[in-house]
Amino acid sequence: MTPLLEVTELVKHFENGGGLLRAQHAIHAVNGVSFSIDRGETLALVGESGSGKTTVGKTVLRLLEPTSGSLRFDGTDLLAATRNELRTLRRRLQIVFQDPYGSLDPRMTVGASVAEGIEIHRLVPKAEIANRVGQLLTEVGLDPALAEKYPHEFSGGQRQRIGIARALAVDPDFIVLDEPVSALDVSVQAQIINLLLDLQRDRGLAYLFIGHDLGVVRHLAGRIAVMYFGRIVEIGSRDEVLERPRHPYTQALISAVPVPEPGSARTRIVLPGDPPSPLVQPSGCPFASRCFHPAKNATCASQRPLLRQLRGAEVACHHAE
Amino acid sequence: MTGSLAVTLRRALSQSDARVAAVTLAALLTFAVVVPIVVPGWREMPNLGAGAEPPSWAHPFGTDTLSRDLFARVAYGGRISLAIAGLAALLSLSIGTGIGLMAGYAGGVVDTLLMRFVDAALAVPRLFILLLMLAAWDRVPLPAFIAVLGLTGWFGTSRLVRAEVLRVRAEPFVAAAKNLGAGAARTIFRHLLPNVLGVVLVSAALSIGEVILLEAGLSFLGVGVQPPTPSWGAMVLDGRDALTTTPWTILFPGVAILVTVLAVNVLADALRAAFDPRSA
Repeated sequence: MTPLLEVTELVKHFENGGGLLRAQHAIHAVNGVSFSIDRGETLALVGESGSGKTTVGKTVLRLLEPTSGSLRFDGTDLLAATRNELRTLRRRLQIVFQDPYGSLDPRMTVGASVAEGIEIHRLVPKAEIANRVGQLLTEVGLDPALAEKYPHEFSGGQRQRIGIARALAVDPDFIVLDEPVSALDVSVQAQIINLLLDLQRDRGLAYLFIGHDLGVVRHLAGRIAVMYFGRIVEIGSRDEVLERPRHPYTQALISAVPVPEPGSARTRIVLPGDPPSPLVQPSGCPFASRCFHPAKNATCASQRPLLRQLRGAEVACHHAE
Repeated sequence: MTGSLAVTLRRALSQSDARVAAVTLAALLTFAVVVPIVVPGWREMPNLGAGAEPPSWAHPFGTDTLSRDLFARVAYGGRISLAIAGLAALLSLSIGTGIGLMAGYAGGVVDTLLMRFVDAALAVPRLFILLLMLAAWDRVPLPAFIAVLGLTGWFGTSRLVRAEVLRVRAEPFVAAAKNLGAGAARTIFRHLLPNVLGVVLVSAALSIGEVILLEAGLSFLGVGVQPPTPSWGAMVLDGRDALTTTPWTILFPGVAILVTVLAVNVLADALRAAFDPRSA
């Protein structure tokens, strides 16, 4: 079976400057990322700020145009699609944003926001739109009577529910969840995570979950891809990545997760320094400058490690064994 | 959408200062429309040589140096001034909003060209552009005068609207709409325009006041409203030499300008607040 979404060697550079008097710089946000997602599956993309994970999410939806690479959705080449084909395809790929405040139009009632996709794709007759919006609000756990209210009258968690209802309105197969709970209180996070899991089960949705909180990722993801500096450094099943991390960066990330039992042993790996500048591409391993691996050697500084298949996961490290 | 406009108006008028402003403007408009019908003698000079007379029962606002009834003239001048201010402001706001939306939404070359043009236009004093354009006529017809004022007044508005569009366009809800399949028209009219209307309304208030004063200046320079046709601005300038001897000649049109500009500002501010659902 072909995967629902297939991303190959995705590259996104942001051209910076390039004025009359300034040299042009390219920010290498995403540098050759490949992954695939099956129907009904969740792939989590984790990494620190600036690792390129949100850019991947937006590029997959063509909210940003990729610099190079290929995107296939359900067998169709997303990059070759004409404007009209893209509009039709977009119905099936949706997104829920991180910011519960900016993601809803403040001048529109939430009913109008949820109805927008239905109107654009003429999914139900006009007279039934209000009814459909009510169903969607109910599905995400909100009172349908709230459709007449404006976004500012809702809490952050409620707004995320509205954002989810807006995405569901067009009956998608795949949703990019761009840190959908990181702006919420912990108690509300759990509710939204449970809602997302219920919806996935009921509707057979595939998720690309973008986040940095491994505690949250553990609940949602089937597979995990760890990004560092615009590249995937480790990708594998959830248990494989979380229980037996092979890349030193993954190990450092996991060591930063708080342990629920007081006094239990845990060695916190604190990485020195910052990631390299995205304006310059290091010739060797991009993580080498911060790496603590005992086997680190000259190869690391000169040769960039590619993803290699190791038992249960793919890892981009010369010394992963 | 029409329903929400009525809701917005009702909400704007729920504040007492906005109600006072609206009633004042309505009263001024009625005054300007009705009084010239009842008291048509704005150009008659019944008692030429008698000089300006102070307010009396016969002439509630007094008369000017040519013995013309100032009550009739202020009313008729109101028609002229309000028509010019209202229509010219409407024209410049429409153009400014359109250009600002276009530049902000399209970006790139379109944005650069439009905004450099606006930069250049703003660098030239508006009065100078107006004098150049109005020099085409011996006696400027009123529609042409309004058009010229409108066509030279949109530069600042377009800049404000563009800046606001750039801010709004970066919000995730615009990306969400795009991802739902919204085209340019829907994005502009359903998302961008409603979110920049607040800026447009503030701009409207400033613009109306500015046009009233500008019209006065141009009329004084002889390229605007031509005597004997009165406008509030022209009347103030006419009376300026006699400020100490016959203050009523300047007082009534001056107060009319003041009250109009004040009422427009209060009303625009209330509308701006009412357009923002967050302030409800």
